[in-house]
Amino acid sequence: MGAAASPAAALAALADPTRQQILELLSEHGPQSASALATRLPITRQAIAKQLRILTEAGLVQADRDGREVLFDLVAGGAADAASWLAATADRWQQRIDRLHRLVDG
Amino acid sequence: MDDEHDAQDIDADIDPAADDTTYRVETEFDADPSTVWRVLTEPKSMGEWLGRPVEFTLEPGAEGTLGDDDVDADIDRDSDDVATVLVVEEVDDERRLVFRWASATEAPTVVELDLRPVGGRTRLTIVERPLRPGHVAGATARACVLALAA
Repeated sequence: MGAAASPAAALAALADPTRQQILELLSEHGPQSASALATRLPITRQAIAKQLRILTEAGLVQADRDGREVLFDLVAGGAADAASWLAATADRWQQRIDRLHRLVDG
Repeated sequence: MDDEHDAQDIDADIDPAADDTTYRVETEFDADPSTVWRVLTEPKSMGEWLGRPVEFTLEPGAEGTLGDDDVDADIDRDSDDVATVLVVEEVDDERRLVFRWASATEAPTVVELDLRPVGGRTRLTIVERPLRPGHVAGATARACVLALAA
């Protein structure tokens, strides 16, 4: 596994609310199987498996076998970090720019 | 004061050509560069737009800090109220300000603020990018920012 992660692929993979939720769940609760994720999300295990495949191909998530289970986890230091950093940074600058406009234009 | 007054132009994009993660955004003000520069760089107004109290000297190499969240509790929810260390890199009056910053919980990044007059208005271009690939957190981040400024 471990497809090379490009920022573009990571961003494309992130452009979906369900996949964002999966990443958040993995970040909050650690490695999990697709079935475990299905108990936390309002979609089927099959739909989750499909999203996990996209996330894995984008280099955001990795799959590891643990006995009979396949556990999915965030790729440490991977593009998910970069993409979430970009999202958080964009959010902060939008707020700062709003305040700058109030100070300059107001 | 007037909210309808000059709708903001915010044009954000992620540079697809950049190898490293780079955030870039542009916005225009209906004011001249010296007015925008003053608001950007005077400690009081700087604290207001950053949403955190600032200790800041407009001088290359000067070390400053951002205090706890003050204005808006939502701004920096990741920071756990940890002060951010800031080091001024470049000052080109009314044109360009570059600084590095980092906190105990956030990896160091570089911020470049560029002002350009455009037909009586001022365009501000903001670029923020990680100081180096990968994550450097905690005390290392602070040490890193300070060491690089030396």
